[in-house]
Amino acid sequence: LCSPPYWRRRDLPLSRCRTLLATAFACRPQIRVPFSSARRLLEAALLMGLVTVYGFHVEHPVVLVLSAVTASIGIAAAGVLYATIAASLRVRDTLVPLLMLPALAPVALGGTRAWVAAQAVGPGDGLRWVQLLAVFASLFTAFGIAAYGSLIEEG
Amino acid sequence: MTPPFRWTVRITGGLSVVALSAAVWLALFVAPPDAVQGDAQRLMYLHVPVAWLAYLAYGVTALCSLLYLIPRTRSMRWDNLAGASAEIGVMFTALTILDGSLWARPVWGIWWTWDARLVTTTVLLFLYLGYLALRRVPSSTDARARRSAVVALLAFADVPIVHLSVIWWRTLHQQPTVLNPELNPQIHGVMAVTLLVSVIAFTCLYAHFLLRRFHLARLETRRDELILQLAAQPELAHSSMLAGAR
Repeated sequence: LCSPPYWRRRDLPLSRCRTLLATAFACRPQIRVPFSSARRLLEAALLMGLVTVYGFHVEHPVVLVLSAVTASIGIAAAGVLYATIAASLRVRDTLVPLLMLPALAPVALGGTRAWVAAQAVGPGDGLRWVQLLAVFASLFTAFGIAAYGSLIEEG
Repeated sequence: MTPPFRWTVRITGGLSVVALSAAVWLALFVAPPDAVQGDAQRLMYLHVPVAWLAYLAYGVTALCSLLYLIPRTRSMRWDNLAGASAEIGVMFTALTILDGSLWARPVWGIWWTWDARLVTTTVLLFLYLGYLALRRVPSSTDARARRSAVVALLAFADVPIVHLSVIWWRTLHQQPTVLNPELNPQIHGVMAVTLLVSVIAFTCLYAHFLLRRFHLARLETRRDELILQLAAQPELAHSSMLAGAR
């Protein structure tokens, strides 16, 4: 995915999609965002910590996995998009957290509620929160695909 | 300022004064006090219109941003209008939080609580403060406008979350009285009329502020272009300085 031809052909929507996803999930030096591999490790470590320290009992593993995956995609897509917007600016170090932290509030809310629902006995509302996370991830990924090329070119 | 534009500004200004006076009179002297909340409920005639107008302002910002991003309709006019509307939206959102807090103290017994509606509204405020901060970053006009338009469209996604937060979460904030999911307003006749007049008054005020701020933004754009022209032609700058000195 990260081979040079894809980076040169930003005019094609498919290529933009690949570039965005490659930037979000692999490690590109151009844009520094917290990458998904590190986040996956952090999520796994936190889950292990919850299970061992707090006796976290997973009743709905599907909700847990789906919420973790959709939230990761959402954070990665938003991170790439906002980092791209601020990449060429001198105040990027201040601007990216200022723009991103409020924007990620739905992920924090949805993710927290989904993980709470994942340990609830009986049918919970976990999938509703997964839906919210999926909408967020889709929105930022779609926006990223549409805007990424022109934002990179102007930068 | 062209004559039709000037007249529109004057008309919206005049209408704002008349409608706001009517709204104050209705809210303080005509509408009855609430059976449970008493006179504190009168703050609703300020709180609800400014909250709705904040939604409207952000909607206008999103629409103008979209029009800027579409190559066929791209114009600095849309960018200026988006920025002007966002500034008014931020002012109205801050006012919503402030008067909501003033209302919450006598009714809930607290100034602030970590309620879903309150938190999502504050998030909305910070999203648009970030948008305004991005607009202030020195950059070329087109690059700044394009970046701002993308951020404005993303920020607007929080508006439905704010509105639906009282339905999605169990909140201390009351459910929507007028724009509820059943579209069946649960409000007394005189109170409904007072609220309607308040909404009209604040809409006129919003239009007036928007036109004034839009005009100012156009002047700022023209000033920036002039500075660039003068910087590109030093002899022109020198002659204009001499003209200024005279």
